[in-house]
Amino acid sequence: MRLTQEQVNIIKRAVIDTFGDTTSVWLFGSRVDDCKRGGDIDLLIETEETDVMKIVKTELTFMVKLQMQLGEQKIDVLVDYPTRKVTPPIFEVAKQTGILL
Amino acid sequence: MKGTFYHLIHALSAINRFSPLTGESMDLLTDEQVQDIDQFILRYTKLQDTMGSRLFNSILNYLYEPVENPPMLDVLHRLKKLGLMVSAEKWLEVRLVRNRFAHDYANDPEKNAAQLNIAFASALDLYNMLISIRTWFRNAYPKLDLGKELPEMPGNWSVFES
Repeated sequence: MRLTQEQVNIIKRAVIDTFGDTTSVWLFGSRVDDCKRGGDIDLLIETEETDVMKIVKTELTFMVKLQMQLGEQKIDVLVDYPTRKVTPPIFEVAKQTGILL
Repeated sequence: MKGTFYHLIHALSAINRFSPLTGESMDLLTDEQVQDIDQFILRYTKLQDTMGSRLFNSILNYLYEPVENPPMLDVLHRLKKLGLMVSAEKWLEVRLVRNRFAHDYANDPEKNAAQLNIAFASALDLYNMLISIRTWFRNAYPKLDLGKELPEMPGNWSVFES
C-alpha cells in the first residue's frame, strides 16, 4: 500500500470526524499496489446515513478536510449508503481489491 | 467578473422559484428551468475559474513579488493571513462544487438534485468572498478604483437554505 501511516491516520480521522465512527473506508485503485507509481488516492466509504442531501454535504466536507491536510493530491471518493438505488460494479470491485483502513 | 455575477444572480432568481430540486422533480423540469440551471452552472464555473486562476494571484502579485504558479493552499493561506479571505475551507468547497458539475450521475437523479441544491446555496459563499475582498481593498487602498459595484444578492432567498 502506497500511503504513509500519517496519511492513513489523516484519512481515518477525517472519516470519523465527518461521516461518524460507524463508517468504513477502503483504499482501492493503484495506491494499493506497491509496484505501481503515482496515481490518485481512491477511497470507498460505506456509511449508514440514508439522507442523500446529508451524504453529499458530508462528502464535500470530508474532501475539503483531506485536501487541507494532504495537500494537492488527487483524491477520488465513492460513497456507498443503504438507500442507494443503483450500485455501479466499481463498488464491489473496490471492496474486493481494496484495503480496509 | 461583475457581469458574470449579475447573470449568476439572474439565473438564481429564477431557480429560487422552483428549488429545492428532488430526484423526482429532476425528470419534470421544463425547458426553461433546464436553461436556468445551465446558465447558473456556466456562470458559477466562470466565476470560480476567474477567482481561482486570476483574481487571487493578481491580488498577491499586486501586494507582493510575483510568484510562478504557487500551490493553491499557499495562496489561500496567504490571503487568509492578510485578512482577504475568512476561510480556506470555503474556497476548497466552492472549487469542489464546481468540479462536480462535470459529474452527472446518470442513474441517480436524487444525487444530482442534491449536488445542484448545494451548488445553489454555495453561490452565496462566492458572493461573500467577493464582498470580503472588495471591503478589504476599500479599507486598505481607498483611492484604488475597483470598477463597477457588485450587484446585491438577496440573502433571504430560499435557494440559500440547505
